[in-house]
Amino acid sequence: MATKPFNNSILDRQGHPDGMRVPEGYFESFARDMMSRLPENELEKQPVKELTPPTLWQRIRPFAYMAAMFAGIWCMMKMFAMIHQSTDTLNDPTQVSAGAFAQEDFVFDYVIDDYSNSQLLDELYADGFSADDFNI
Amino acid sequence: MKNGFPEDDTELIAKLRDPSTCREAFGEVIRRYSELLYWQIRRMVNSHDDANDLLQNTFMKAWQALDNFRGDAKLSTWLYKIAINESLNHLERERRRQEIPIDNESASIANTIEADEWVDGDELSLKLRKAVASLPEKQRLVFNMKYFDDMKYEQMSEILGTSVGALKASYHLAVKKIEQYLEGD
Repeated sequence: MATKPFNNSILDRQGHPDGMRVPEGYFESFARDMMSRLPENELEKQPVKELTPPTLWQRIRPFAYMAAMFAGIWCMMKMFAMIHQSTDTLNDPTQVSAGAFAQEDFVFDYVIDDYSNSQLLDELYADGFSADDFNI
Repeated sequence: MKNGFPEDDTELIAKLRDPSTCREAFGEVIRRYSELLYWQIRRMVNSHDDANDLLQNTFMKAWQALDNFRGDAKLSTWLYKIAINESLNHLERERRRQEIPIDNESASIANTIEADEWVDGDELSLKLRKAVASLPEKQRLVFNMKYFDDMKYEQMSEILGTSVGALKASYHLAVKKIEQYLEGD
């Protein structure tokens, strides 16, 4: 039995244990007896959660979601690119003119004919003809 | 092992919370704490048979209340509280059963001490036990924890719910009383 010393105290001078003892092997047998007497407690009564293996879908679900997300992003980018391209074409006058001049009818109707007539008139005026000569 | 508290019960507490390991872990709790708690109880009730019964009750209550133990307090503190409550309730029951007035309790305890067969039979140790028995219950607890178990005041404060200052004063008074008792005999 350990005792706490007191300076010059009668307790210190005695330094005496309390004299109590236990039967031989008491604590070892107590632990054994106590364990054998323990009933089931609330914690043990709780149902144990069974671990079921994950299904195929549960396993691939994160990858499927990720793939869908990337596909969505790719579609959006593609759509934006197409919208941007068509808007550029409509707004570019050079491309509109090039498209128009590529058509033969347009050139004959609006370019060659008009130009030819005015050129012809200019040349006729230069040669001494007047508008009265052509009744126009 | 009457002295020396296991410092780290973290792993044990984790096992106690797991339904699959709690029974095995509680066996370790019994092995680790039965001796410490036994002596605390025994010094309060002064009878081996009573201490044995109360120790069983202490562990049984701890086992039944295991799912309520959150681990906020130390395992040792929690067990000590249960053991002390069991001891104090037992003394109260005995007082009522034997119709002992509270101011005459020490005489009754002295009789119990003399009737206890599990002692060395030394005159001085018997005198010391009677001197301790003359203290009020709470002061007796404080004296036992400090003098015999050499427990820190901080841990005593957690267990008894009393400030460190009050515990120091209580212990100092207890020592004075016991010295007077021993010198006066």
